[in-house]
Amino acid sequence: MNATQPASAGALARLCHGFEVVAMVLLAVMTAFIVVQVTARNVFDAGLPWAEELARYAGLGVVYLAAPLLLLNGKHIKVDMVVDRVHGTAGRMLRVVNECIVLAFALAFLWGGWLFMQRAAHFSTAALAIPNWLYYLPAAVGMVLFALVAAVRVGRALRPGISDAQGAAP
Amino acid sequence: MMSLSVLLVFLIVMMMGVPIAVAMGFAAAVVIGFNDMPLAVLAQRTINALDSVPLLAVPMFILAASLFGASGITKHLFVLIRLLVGGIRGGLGHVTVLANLVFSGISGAALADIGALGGTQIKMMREQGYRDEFAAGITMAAATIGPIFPPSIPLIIFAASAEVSAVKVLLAGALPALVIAAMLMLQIGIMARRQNLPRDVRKSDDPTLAQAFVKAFPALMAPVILIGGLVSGLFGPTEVAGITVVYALLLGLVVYREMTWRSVVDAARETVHSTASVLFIVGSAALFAWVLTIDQVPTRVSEFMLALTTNKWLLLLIVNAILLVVGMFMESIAAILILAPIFTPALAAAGVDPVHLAVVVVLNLMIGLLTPPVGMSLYMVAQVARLPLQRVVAGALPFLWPLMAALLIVTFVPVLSTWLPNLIVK
Repeated sequence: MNATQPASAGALARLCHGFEVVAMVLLAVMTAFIVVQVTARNVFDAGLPWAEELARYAGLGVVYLAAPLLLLNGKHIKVDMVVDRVHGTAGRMLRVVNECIVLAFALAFLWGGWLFMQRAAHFSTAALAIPNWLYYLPAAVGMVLFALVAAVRVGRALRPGISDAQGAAP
Repeated sequence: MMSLSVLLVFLIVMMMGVPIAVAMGFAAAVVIGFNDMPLAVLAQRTINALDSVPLLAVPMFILAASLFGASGITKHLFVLIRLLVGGIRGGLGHVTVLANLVFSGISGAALADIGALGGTQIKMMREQGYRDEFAAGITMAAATIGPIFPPSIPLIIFAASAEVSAVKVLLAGALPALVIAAMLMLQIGIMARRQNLPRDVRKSDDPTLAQAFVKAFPALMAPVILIGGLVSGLFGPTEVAGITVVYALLLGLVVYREMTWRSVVDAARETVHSTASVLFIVGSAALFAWVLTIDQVPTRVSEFMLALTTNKWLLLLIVNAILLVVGMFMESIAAILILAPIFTPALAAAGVDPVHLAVVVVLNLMIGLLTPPVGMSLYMVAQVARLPLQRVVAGALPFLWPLMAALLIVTFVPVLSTWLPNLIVK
């Protein structure tokens, strides 16, 4: 695990940072809905299933909208004691393979998500009847950006002299 | 065979340096692809696992701990506890343990505790001539108390995974947390004599004990309010996290007035990063666990364990040994999601109370936070203390013994875990 330097510029970086802000807003919304639910139940004796549903929706958004920025900055939790000890061409090849695995995972996830939505899109959520495509949208958008970041990192890793940290920079 | 393949691919890819979340998801995807299973489960299982009320506790507890760090609470807590026990030889070590014990009543995660308290603790100890290794070691070891004492993210996750009462499981951690604190303080006492550790130095402008108590009182009340609300049924285990955030904001903005909106935004940003980092792993872990379930691993492990022995103490020892190894390689929440449904049926059949098992499992995995290669506390303290990993690992070693002793006590004295929940929750 390491703390790498954040990537600097580029449209992708701006997009990732924009999603980070959305995730922060969703965090506040999620907490607010949970507190509203507690208040409604204890003060007004009223259950608010919609509040819980929206809190879960916000929770999904927090995870998937922030994940691309973490990938961009190389901040996802990883064991780097091996990769840090492999230098030169072997080290570069290992980084390329690693970034390709991340990209392959992202693409497989998106393909799986597409297949899943073929059936799930016909349904909606229980409390607010939000169409499933809308409910799962933050996850889909986040994973598309995640795949784009992964593709950029593959490209960077292929260039000689680029470290793992720099591999993030678009 | 499928389970072995997924485990092997995961370990290889993880050791290559691929993010753990991706390593788990990739391994599961490979096995799903090669076995002609529907690829749709890749997204379905991952997203559905995260679309969960208990998991909402994760971001809210992380946010609460960050806000408490920014609210001035930790400073006032330290002042009070330093006045109480700082005069003992090795006093700042004891202060660290007790501060973590109090803070554990408002926080639910070890890493959050290190983030909120670690910097101050290590700085204080360095200023008084403690070795860096000691400061780093006790900071990590004391942080294991956080996820054992209620509230606790890992215990909430265990309760949800093993389908046991979350309130009971949360209360189960209270006495074992005191055992851990006692063991750590005993070890500090021994080390203080051997290494001639200093006593805390009182300054002329230090407040009196009464003044310090008044200042720290709102912080000391936090665990009482939160656990009281939980026990009385005012709020559920996940909702406690939301109330904790509100309480932290109230203390920081209204009572202590040391929190700025800038620090609130910074806390939110830090929370979003930590949450995405941990829960992205959790989503993949759910997929990983699904592959194991399809391969009937929980049933097979259960049958295998009960064929080995039906003696519950031996089974608990086996679980301890497995979890200590798993804790070295796997993120704790992911490990709970995968292993709780596997171990609980076998041990329950042998007569182990799942509430007791929850504490044993979580304590094991928290000890894993201090062991490489996936010892998250090691990496976090290395960052906070700006120390090389090797020195942080060396610092952790002397504190693994008291933690192991606490684990054995908690394992073989189940009443420590079951007495309080059975007394309060009928």
